[in-house]
Amino acid sequence: MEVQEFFELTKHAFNKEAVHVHHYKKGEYLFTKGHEIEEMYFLLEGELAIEKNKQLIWIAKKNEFIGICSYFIGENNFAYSAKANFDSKIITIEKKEFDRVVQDNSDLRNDLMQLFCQRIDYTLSNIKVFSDLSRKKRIIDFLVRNIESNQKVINQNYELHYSSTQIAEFVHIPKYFTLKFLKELQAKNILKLSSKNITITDFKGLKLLLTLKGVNL
Amino acid sequence: MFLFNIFNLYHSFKKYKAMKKVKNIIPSCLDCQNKNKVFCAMSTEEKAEVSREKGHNFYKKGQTIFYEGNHSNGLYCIHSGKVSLTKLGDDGKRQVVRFAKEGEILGYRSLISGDSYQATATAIEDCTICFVQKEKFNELIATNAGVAVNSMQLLASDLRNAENKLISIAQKSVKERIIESILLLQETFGFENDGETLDVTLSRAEIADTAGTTTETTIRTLAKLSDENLINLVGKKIKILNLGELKKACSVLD
Repeated sequence: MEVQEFFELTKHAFNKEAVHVHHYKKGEYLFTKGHEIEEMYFLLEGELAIEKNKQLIWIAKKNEFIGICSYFIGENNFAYSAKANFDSKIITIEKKEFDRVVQDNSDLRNDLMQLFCQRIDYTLSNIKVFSDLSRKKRIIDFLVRNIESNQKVINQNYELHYSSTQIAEFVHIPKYFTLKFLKELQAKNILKLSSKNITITDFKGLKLLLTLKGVNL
Repeated sequence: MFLFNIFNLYHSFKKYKAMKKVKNIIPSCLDCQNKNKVFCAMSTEEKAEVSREKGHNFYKKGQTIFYEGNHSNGLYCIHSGKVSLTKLGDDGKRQVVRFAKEGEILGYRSLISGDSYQATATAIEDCTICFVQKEKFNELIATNAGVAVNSMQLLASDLRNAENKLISIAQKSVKERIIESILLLQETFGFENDGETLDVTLSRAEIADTAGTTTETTIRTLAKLSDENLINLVGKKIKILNLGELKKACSVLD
């Protein structure tokens, strides 16, 4: 039953025998850099942080294939790690079966090509953010982009399920600096901090800060 | 003075004739010596069809092939020459996304995603570039699994390069980034016959755009690398004197 959703999403392209379901707890690794590529992964529920050299390079969301970059480059081992940001449900597909469907199924090929384009765009925007923006603006940019891609609105507030430590790791900025700046934003009534969540109470105000060229930003 | 003018006129005429000759050669996909990854997967019939339908253009050094934000209408395949792909920041700062040489294709990502061109392509030396219509490329991707899989391999490699650049910008010093840019140029374009001089001529500003730093810092850092006997600067040309040490200095071997 758990796998049924995957088959529906992928229009029954994969053989049932080659597909398995796994559950990962928050913080657990699906694979780490150097792990041999024996299967491909599909994220059915949850969220994954894709990291390379301690740098977050992509946040994988629901209904997404994982490991495709190393697979198409033709590497035998993964060049990055995948860690569950939240409790996650993962489908694994045997590599031989994935090879077969990639050759046979143009829908899957199209989906994968779109995913590649999306990831390249995200990475190029991140390069721009890292080379052009100050540390504070990098934090704001991270919050804004995550809200825009997640759209979790509760009573006109936006909820992000990240701690300040996680954000610091994502934007590659020291934890003390990130927390200090988030507290500054809290004092300006732009967001509310709790141990595991951040609630954005003034999204417009937050976005406006990105365009300001003030001394403090 | 008169002799000097005659000499200049003769050379300009020779250059013009050579350029005209290059312009008049229509490259054919069937006997193209450039082993392009995407087009390698096509059958002889498909190659003949693409060759019949495609166009080609000659671009002079510095000429723009397409602009970031332009509607994507086709695929560009470099027959000869070198091209840089750059993105413009909000503050007007240019960032080199990648370099491309003969046999490489440009604009495929925009055709696949259906977006406008994501970068500006500029000839960094005189180029001959073929042009395949959007509809033809989309048809090939839909009907030929090999073309689609090879396109994905290109996308995967673009993604890997972009991710490495992100890590470099986030974690490496300016000096390391400039060395990495020199190594990228070496990897992309190789050496001239002497086995030391990079086979590409870029201005200091263009190297700065590649490393994501200012021209002033680039000039200072290149001079420092020259003092350390890692490179030698001859005008705009860069000679790599110690490739091993250069790689060590930017932790490429890690």
